[in-house]
Amino acid sequence: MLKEMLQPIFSLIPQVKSPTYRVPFKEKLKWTGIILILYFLLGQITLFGLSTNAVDYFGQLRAVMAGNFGSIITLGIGPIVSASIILQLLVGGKIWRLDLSRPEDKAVFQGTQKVLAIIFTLFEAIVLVLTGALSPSSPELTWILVLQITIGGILIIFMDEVVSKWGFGSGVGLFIAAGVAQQIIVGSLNVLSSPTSPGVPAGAIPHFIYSLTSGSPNFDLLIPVLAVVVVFLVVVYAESMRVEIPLSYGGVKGARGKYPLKFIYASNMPVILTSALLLNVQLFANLFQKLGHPILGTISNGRAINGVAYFLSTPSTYTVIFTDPLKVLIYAVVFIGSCILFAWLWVELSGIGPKQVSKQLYDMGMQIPGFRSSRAQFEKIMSRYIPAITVLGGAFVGLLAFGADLTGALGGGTGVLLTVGIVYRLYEEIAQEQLMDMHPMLRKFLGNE
Amino acid sequence: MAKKDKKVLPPSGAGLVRFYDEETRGPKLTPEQVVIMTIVLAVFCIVLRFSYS
Repeated sequence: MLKEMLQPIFSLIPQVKSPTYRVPFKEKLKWTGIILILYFLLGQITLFGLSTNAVDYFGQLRAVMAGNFGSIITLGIGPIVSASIILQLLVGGKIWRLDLSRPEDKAVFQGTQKVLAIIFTLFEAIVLVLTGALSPSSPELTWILVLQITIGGILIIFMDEVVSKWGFGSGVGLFIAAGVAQQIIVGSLNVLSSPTSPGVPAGAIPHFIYSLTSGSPNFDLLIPVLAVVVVFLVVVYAESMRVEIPLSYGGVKGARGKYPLKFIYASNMPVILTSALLLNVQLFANLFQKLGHPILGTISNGRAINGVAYFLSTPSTYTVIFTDPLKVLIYAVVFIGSCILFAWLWVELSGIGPKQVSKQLYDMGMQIPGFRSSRAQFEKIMSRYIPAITVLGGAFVGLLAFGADLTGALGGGTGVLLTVGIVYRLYEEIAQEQLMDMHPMLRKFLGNE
Repeated sequence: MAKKDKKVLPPSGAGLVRFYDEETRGPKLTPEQVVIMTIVLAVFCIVLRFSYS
C-alpha cells in the first residue's frame, strides 16, 4: 500500500548514479578525497545572520552528528542517522512490513530513508531556528538562516551517497571519522597558544613539552592522548573478536561457510542511544528550570550542579572520582546499565535477533553441519550465542565509552569508539581493494568480479 | 565468498545506518554533478551575505 504511494515521490528525488563497472582503487580514492575536501570546506562556511548567542545543544552528540556548529553543515549527518534509525525500528519492529531480502523492498527502504532524511533536514532546521537554539541576528533573517541550514543538510545527503557508491565505506562513517580525527589532531598537536592562557600551547603534547621546559612536568596533560591510544587498541582487538557459526549449504554438497557473529553485536548503537537519552535529561532539566520548577536539578553555565541532572551528567575529568565518588559510581551504573538495555532492545527491534537471523539463514537453505536441518535447531543454537554477546558487547562498549569520557580522551568517548570502528572497517576494505587491483587473478579468486 | 552470497547473509552485527545498492526510479546524477552542485550552492551561501545589506 504505502510502497505504491511512495513511488511517485521517489521518481522526483534525484539520486547518484551507481557505477556500472568495478570502480578501480585510484578512482575510489579520488572520490573519497574530493568529498572529504568539500566536507571540510562546507564546515568553514559560517551561517550568515546567526546571532552570537547561539548555543550548541547537541554538543554532547557532536561526534555522532559530525558537522560543524555554526556552519551551513550544522546539522551534519544528524538527519540521515535519525531517518535510518527510525526506519530500521519501523521495519524491524514489523510496524512496516518490508522484506529486506527482496531487491524491490531494498530500493523502497533506501528511497524512504532519503525522503525521511530530507524531511528531517527541513524539520530540524526550522525547529532549531524558531526555538532560538540558532537564533537569527535580526528577525527578517529567520528564513534565510533556515534556507542555508537546509542547503547544507541536503548537500551532505548527496555527498554521503557519492561516497557510498563511488568511494570507500560510507559517507556517514567518513564524516564522523573526519570530525573526530580533526579533534584528536588539533587537541594533541596544536602549537598555537590557547585562548585562556596566552603564550601556552593549546595542544596536549606541546603543552606537556612546554611544562617540561618550565621545569615542572605535568604528566596529567598526557592522559587524554594516552586514553585515545588505549581505546584505539582495545576497540581494534574487540572488533576482531567473533563467534563463528559453521554453515553448510543444503543444496550443494561440500559447500561450507561461516557466519561470524561479532562480539560487539549491537555495535556502538547502545552508546549512541544512551548518550542521546542522557542528553535529554540535561535538556529537560534546563527546560524545567526555565519554567521555574528545577525538579531535575539546577543548571548553571550550561553544567548541572545538583539533582538528578548532576548525577547523570558526564564527568569531565577523572579527578571527580576523588572529589565525588558517589556521582561517578551512579553515572557508571546508569550509563552501562542503559547500554545493556539498549543493546538488547536494538538487537530485538532492528531484526538481528536470534529468531530473525535463524529464519533468514534457514530460508537460504543453510544448515549447521552435524545438526538436523530445521529452523528450531537454528534458533536453539542462535539463542545460545546472540543474547550473551548482545549483553556482554553492550556492557563492553558502555564501559569503554565511560572510561574514555572519564580520562577525557580527545574527541570524546563515543567519538573515539565510533571512529576506531569506522577506520578499522575502512582499512579492511582498502586493503582488500588494493590487493584486487594489484592482482587481477585474485579478483577472480575472491569472487568480486 | 562470492559477492552475491555476501549480500543475502544477514548482517553479522548492527550498524548506524543501513545502505542498499538497489535504486528507485528518479533522475540520476553523476558524482561530477554532485561536486558541481555542492560548489555552486556553497558559493550561493557565501554570496548571500554580500547581496544582503
